[in-house]
Amino acid sequence: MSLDSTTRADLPTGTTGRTIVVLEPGARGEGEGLLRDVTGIRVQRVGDAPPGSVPGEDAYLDQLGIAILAADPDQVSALGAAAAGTELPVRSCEPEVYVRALGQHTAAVSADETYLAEEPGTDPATLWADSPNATWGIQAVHAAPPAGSRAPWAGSGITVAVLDTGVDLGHPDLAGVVVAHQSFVDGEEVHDGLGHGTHVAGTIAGAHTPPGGQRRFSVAPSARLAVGKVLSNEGSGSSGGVLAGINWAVSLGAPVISMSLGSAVAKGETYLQYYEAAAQAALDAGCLIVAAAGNEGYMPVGSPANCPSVMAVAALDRALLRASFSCVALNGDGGEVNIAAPGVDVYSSYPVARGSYAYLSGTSMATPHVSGVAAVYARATGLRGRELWARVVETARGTGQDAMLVGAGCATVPTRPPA
Amino acid sequence: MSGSTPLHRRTHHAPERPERPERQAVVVTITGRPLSTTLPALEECGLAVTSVLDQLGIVLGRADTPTRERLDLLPGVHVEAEQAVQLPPPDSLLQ
Repeated sequence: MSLDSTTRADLPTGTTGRTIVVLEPGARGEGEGLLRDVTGIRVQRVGDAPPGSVPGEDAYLDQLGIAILAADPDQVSALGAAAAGTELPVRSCEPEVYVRALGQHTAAVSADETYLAEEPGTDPATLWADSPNATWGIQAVHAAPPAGSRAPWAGSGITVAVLDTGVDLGHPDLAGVVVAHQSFVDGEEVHDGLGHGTHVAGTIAGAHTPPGGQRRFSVAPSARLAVGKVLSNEGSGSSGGVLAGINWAVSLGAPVISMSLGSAVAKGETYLQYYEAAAQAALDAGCLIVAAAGNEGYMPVGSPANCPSVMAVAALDRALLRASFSCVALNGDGGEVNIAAPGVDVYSSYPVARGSYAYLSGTSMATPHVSGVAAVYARATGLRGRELWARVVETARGTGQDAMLVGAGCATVPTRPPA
Repeated sequence: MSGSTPLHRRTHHAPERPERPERQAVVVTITGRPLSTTLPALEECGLAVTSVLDQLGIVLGRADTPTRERLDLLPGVHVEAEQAVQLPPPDSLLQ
């Protein structure tokens, strides 16, 4: 992406000359051998590199099935041919691009974005980072307000339905937050045996001041949750169960329905009619469905986020750029990305039996940020359904990237100057 | 999120009882007509109703191929197969 030349003309822009290769998920374990066979390159396995570390030349991120190669043009063309064909499990082959820290870009752009330099614990020359008081994600969506501002709404009186793996009802940071719960999984209580749902729930409405002294990680701490367990403790479910959960959430009148779930969609594939019908019925009833765009990389937005009446959420990294795993708008007719939110290294609640807190990444983590923002707007404006959708999208902050990648940009709650 | 997997797989061992047409989990979407009056027509076509989602105009059920063909003839009725939804394992870096 381009850099505003009036701010830091000395910083590099455009492509780096390296190539990012994404393997099909099933080929992750054999990535090193595959790349050696196709390109002759011996890659260095990065393995469980800590968040924020930068891989060197010809690195292979084995957990992600992603290689970063300083390949010459001949090798790149071989990879490109592999990506275009079906004979090799190469999903995409794209040039690496320079990214820039938000603080380096924004100081001269708009007063609205000058807060980064003033945020306690945040160096303007670095990427967004968790502070002792707030995660980087809730800072980025302004739920932990910029210096010189306040966030006068926190979603009080708004119920957000979370359709996921349930929650740990005994988690201290969710005490008193869950006002309704129901399991749609045969033989399983609403308790979250996996962790996914507890993490999502915490990002929406975890305690404003966690009793254990943790940093705040919730966008709308005054909102309340209706927890529909539609995915089992193994993380599996069916679209029928998801629909049953939506039906329940609509019957409760939840203004926001958060769905960090879905299925991959092929290029040219359209949306499922039952999901679209459900989403339309929900909007008609004043319930906005927010769903994860998917983690398949440079692939179409997944289902049900690909429905025209479902708000599709992309994930942003700490530079507020599309995370490389986040699906993009390759299919029209609902397959757009509508909005984006932080989805990398997201700190939130986790089942007590699994350590109480965890960092997770994915569009599943970006989605509850948007759901929380929607809850705040629902409280602040009284808007519902399609009008709420419009407000959430039109107040997103552009990040400089194409709408195909991040939609309208980063979701943002309303703030005001101090009274 | 992750890719979908088949929810209903055919079993390859010999059936113990005389073979009957396989019934698949389906989602029936009703548009432009009332759900309450459509429901009897669905059952008449052979749909084994498992759940009625009254807020959405959607009926969950099980249907074999002839039933699906009959349902497809009903105006305002759309039948699709139910899909599986699967999260990545909890130790996955992406969720």
